[in-house]
Amino acid sequence: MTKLIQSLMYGLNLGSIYALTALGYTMVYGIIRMINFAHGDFIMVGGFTLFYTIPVMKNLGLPLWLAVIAAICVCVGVGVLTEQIAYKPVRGQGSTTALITALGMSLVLENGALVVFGSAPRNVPPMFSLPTIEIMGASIPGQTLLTLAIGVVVMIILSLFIKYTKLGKAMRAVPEDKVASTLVGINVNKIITITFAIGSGLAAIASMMYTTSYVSIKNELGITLGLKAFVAAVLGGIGSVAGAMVGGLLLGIVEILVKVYMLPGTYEAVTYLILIVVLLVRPTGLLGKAVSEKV
Amino acid sequence: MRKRIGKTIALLTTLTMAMGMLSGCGASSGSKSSSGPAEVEGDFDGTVSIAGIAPLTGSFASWGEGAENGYNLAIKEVNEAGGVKIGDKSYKLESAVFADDKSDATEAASAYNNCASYDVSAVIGSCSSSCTLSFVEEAQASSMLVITPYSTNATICKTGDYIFRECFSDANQGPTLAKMATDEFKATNIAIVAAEDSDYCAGLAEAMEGALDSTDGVKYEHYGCVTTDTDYTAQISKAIEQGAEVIIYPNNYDTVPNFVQQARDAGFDGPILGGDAWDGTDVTGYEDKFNNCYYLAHVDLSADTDAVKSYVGAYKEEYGSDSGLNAVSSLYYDSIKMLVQAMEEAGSTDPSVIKDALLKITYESMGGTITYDENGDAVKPFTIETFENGELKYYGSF
Repeated sequence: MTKLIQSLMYGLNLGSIYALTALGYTMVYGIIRMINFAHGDFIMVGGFTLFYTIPVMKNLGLPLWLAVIAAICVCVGVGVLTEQIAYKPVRGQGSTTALITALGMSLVLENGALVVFGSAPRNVPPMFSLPTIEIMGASIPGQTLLTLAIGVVVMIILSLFIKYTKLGKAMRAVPEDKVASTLVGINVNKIITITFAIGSGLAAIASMMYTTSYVSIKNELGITLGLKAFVAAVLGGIGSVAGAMVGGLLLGIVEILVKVYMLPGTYEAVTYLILIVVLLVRPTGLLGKAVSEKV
Repeated sequence: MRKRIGKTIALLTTLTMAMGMLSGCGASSGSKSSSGPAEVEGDFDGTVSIAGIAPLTGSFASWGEGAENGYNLAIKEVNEAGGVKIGDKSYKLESAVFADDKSDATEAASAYNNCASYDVSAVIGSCSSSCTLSFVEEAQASSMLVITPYSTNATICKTGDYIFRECFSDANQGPTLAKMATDEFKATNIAIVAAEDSDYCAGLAEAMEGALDSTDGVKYEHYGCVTTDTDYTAQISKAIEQGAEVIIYPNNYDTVPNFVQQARDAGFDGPILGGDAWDGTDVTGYEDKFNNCYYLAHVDLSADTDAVKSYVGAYKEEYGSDSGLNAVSSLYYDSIKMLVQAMEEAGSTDPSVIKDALLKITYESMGGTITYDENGDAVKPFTIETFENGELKYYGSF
């Protein structure tokens, strides 16, 4: 029993990182129907920003979590720039073009990081020192609980934002009908840029959560993480905020449980086999809506 | 409109490729400034060419930097001391090429082909066992002498009589790690977490298990992982559940900080042991968690011996800092010095003659005396390194 609780907690920790990353995919996909493969690399950029700014905060005697704000600024900058330079010009050229551009952008960021930061793995200094907590015999590191809490709070705020604010409503209107949105006075380009800004800001928060659990970062960090988060987004139903949350948490928990109770070395084969079965049964993902494409 | 978009895509593609090239360039231009061992004036009767392979980019780039520096430093010192002396003639040692295997087995094979396209007497390389294994068979088939400075996988030297190494073999390292756990730390319950997709990690774990199987009263469990993993919480909680007193983590340095941090956070305070691939581990920011961690090393660079002190001094003087000054760099350095000794003892630069001289050689490396057993595999003492609040410390020898 203790083992199960412990594993579930680890699964939730991993899952909430996947979930927050998946949120970035889902936000962009939900608004402009485009899969932003560079999202995982935004997290890498955030990770390196933390690596460089945490020591600065320490030297200035400021609270270390302020580094997250720097990471958010850098990530939002990179995200918005990416959108303006690479994605905006190809918008309306079909999804294949957008997909290839996103893949290209991902490679640009990875190799650019190689040039700027080098390829040696770096340790991001600890931001918080939290005690380990005992729950029903299972010992849970403090940062696991913090990661979970941040993940849940961010997701709730995001859901409320999209549902109740004017901007959120506009964000939901754009994918429904771009022309009609323009007619009612929504600046579609602005909405898309804001979506990217929010998505990239989430990437910065994801990078903070990632680095508190997995301290070592390198320029290739975004590849596996991005891929798994993309799978999580599809699993939950891409385009759905709640779906990203459910998909991410589920993926994390399944991964850890497969590692603990089945094969730790070949867990990916087993994990993804399970996911394929889920998708065969529910092709739109767990919480995705079956929307027929408008002609 | 369409045209503009086409252009943008073209631009992006070009940009991506340019970045790729740029990253490649970064490494090779870096090697230009540091490489090309400084020209030495002097009269030579001819030249002897060698080539090197190391991971200058990719996951193991931290090894590559030092490797290239150690390689060039050795060549420079050999020439300053009058070159390779064969009979009454002296030859200038030259590096034909220093190729990047990009920490990838496929790239390593083409890096080897690049080296073999020159008229060289020997190839020095590479670091990771998977990379070295990708070309040793071809080298053996074409009678090319290979000395790998850092690849410990047990099968490498069994490939044939042209394949040598400057380091110990996992056939010895595995049992030594096992002995360290059972004798030094008196463990009777051991957990092993090893990557299954790496020739080095899997081979080392296998050799270790072989030794543990034949030790009485020792219980051990093996949990797999893969080299791209960042989350080890499942393996660690299983190790704690089994009551492990020691965890052995024989994987590469880039994954070590994640593992150690997660193990300590999960409440495991016991010794964590690693293999020689821990060399280069970054402990910054997590110094306290690395207390009670030990790994087997080829050399202790803080040792108070003349060989080590003169190497460290020469390295710092040549490159202006201790960046890349790790065990790997010293192994590349020693590989060349050993090769030169073998050439001089053989009185030839012909690989088929050098290989016989290497089998009989007794070479004093920085990490201790190297000899070769009847199978052509290196026999070398083990050094144990530990961390004391982030500082690398000598712990003992085996």
